[in-house]
Formats: sequence, C-alpha cells, structure tokens
Amino acid sequence: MIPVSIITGFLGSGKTTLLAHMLRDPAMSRTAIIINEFGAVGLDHDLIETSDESFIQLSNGCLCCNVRTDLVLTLIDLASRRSAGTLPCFERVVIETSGLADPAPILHALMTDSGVCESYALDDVITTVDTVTGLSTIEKHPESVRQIAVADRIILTKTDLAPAGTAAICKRISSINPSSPVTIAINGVLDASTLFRSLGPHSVDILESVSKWMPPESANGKSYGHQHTEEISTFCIVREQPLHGVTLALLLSALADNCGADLLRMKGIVAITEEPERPAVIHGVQHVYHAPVWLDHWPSDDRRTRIVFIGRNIRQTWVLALIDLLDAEVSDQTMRLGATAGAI
Amino acid sequence: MQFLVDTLELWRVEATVEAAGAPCVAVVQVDKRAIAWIERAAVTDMTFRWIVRFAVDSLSDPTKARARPCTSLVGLLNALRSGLKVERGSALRVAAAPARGA
Repeated sequence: MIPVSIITGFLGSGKTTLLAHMLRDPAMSRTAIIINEFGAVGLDHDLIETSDESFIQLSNGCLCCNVRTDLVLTLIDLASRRSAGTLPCFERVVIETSGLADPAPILHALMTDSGVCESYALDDVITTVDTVTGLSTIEKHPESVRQIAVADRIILTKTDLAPAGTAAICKRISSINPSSPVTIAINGVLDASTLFRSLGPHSVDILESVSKWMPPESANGKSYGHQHTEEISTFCIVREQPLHGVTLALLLSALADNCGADLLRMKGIVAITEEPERPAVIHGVQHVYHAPVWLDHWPSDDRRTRIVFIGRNIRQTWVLALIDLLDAEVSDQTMRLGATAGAI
Repeated sequence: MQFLVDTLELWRVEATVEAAGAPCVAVVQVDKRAIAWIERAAVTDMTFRWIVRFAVDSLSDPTKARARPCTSLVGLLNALRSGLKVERGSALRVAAAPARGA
C-alpha cells in the first residue's frame, strides 16, 4: 500500500513553503505530489521545484468539494500509470489541500473509496498553523478549526515573525486538539522524517503512537473536557471497566448515527472484556472509522479505556452515558441468553 | 431520562422529556404535545428491549400510537431520529485499517 499524507492548513499558513523545503530532502525523492489550488490560476506549483511528472495540480476548485471527480480519479490514475511503468515508481503521495478545504471529505475518500483503498492507505494529516494570524483565523474561520481538529501533527509556522505569540497559539491549538504534537518549523524548514510517519522512526510500531494520543489529563484517571467557541469541544473519556466487544461495535454505530458530521475526530484505545490482553485502537473522522486495530499487548501499564473526542455540540456526559448504557444492555443480554441456554 | 434530554440537544431538536407512568419510561413532547412514548419491552421478550410509540396525526394517546419495537438502545435512538425526522448524515462506514507499522 502506498502511504498518503495530507498537508492542510488555512490560507497563507505556510503549506507550500513547507512542502517546497521537504521536497529537497533526498528521503522524499520518490514522492508524488498533488496540489489543490482554489482559483483559476494556480501559483503554488510554480513555487515547488519538481523534476519528474509525479506532480499533479488540481486547480478546478476546492478539493473537498470535488473530491470524487478530482482527487479519487487522480489517485487511481496515478496508481495505474505507476503499475504500467509510465510513471516513476513513487513510494508515497503527498496531497496539499487548498487553504479553504475541509479535510474531512478528503479523508473519507481516502479511507472508503474502493478504488483508492486498493492501492493507498492514509498515513497522516499534517496541519500548518500561522503563528502571526493563527489565533484570529481560528476565531473567524471554522475551516481552520476543522483542519486543526483532524491533524495527526501540527506544524507551527512563522514563529520567527511573532515569537511572543507562540505560547498563546500553542495553548489554543491544544484546546482544540490536545493529542497531536505541535512542531515548530523555522523558516519553513523541517526534517522530512519528522513530518511524515512513513519516513520516521515512529513508523515502527503503532504502539508508540497510541500513548502519544492521550493527553496528560487522562493520566489522572478521570475523564476531562474543554469547551470552545463555535460549540467545538474536546474531551477524553477514561473508563476503568473494559467494554464487551459487541459494545464497541454498537458504540461506533451509535456515534456515527447520532453525531454525524458533528463528530470531527475520535481516537482511542479500548479495553475489551473478551480480549483483556489485546486492546483495540479505534480511529474515526465523522461517520467514517477505521476497522479497529488489535494490538498484541498494552503499550503501557495503563490498561484503561481512553478515547479522545473532538466535536461540535457533543456532551461528554452523553458519551459516557451512552457507553455505560450500551455495555449494561450487552451484559444483560448475555445473561439472558445464558439463562435461556441453561433452561434448554 | 437525562440521556434522552442530552440526545435531543445533540440532535438540536427542541423537545422536552417527561417521566411517564408504567409501562412508559419517558414521553417526548414537542410544543407541549406528546409525540413519542418510550417503553421497556417485557422482560420475557428475548428479541426486543424497547418499544417506541409515535403519536398518529394529532392524537396524543399512546394506546392509539404507532409502535416500533427496538432490539437495543441503538435501535431506540434510530427509531426516535426517524420519528422526529432528524437528519444526521450517513450511517457508519468502516474503512480498512492502516497497516501495522505503516
């Protein structure tokens, strides 16, 4: 499978500068680049030096609005040309979205389109945030909040222009997405292996990344939450008791059915009653979830269920109650069926 | 009860939830008119756990309501969303998990 990374971030936040520097790194030599520009005349591609044709510019509108016709067909075409040998054998794809793009439809396409999933796997989402204008952008543009919410890694740019603002923007970013690390790019320069999971040492095992998702507040054994403007809230559910496997399936279904697009991002590690030594890692964007990944063992001594939610108008108490009610229902049904089996 | 109140708020439905006499657990009201009654199914019922009854036309009478049995809490919420005409987007889709170590 070819890993796909998405670089997103609001207009002027330094996506193209970052990508341009990245592509000078020899480790990035076998990378196909897809750039989406909003507007009839694209400029970004002129700012990036590439030496081969593994470079596609999509300039007929915003990627998230034309994701089916543009991105999916482009990815399928790239894979097909790679197989036919008419394109260099690229080893990864980087997609730079337009600054106004909502990343969620793009992630959905990458995670669920059968044609795309034959050849590609979503690797990570990198979001650039401008230190100078980031705070006001977050307050004024919900797209910016969504871009931060779905990020696996956040790159803070232009810190040299406003060094005093770094702490404030980091705090704001953390209040939206506490589980993703923030890295500072000096003049847009960052080591590629720091940026892309498929190149970095942390690609070795998913175990390492699991613990990084969990914000420090979850370590005290209690669920916690933050409420923001625009009804966006971030909270972490911590549960001592394991869940039945069926409860997890019902929970994912209930979250998708009832939260819909209000659930921006959810990821976590879940203790399962039937598999006490093997936790399940869950990961979802809106109503689309990866199939749970079953770890071979717990990544640390902490064996509690911990799930981070980033969403709009979703109450932490509602999620906690939902989990408790579903698991109680499953326990009760198991007992009933057991009683029936005994009677027979 | 609080779970139902929070659920309606999550759906952005302007409705209230009141306790109701047996066999009902709760009744959902819109503009002070009962539109849905929620009951626990009989303990002996191995198939269904909940029954939701929706008011027919302008009748706020649970005995004349349209009944929808539900196998689980997930089904109960689905029935309520359907009865209240709440649109929450697509149902769950499961994508291939990323490869270990990818």
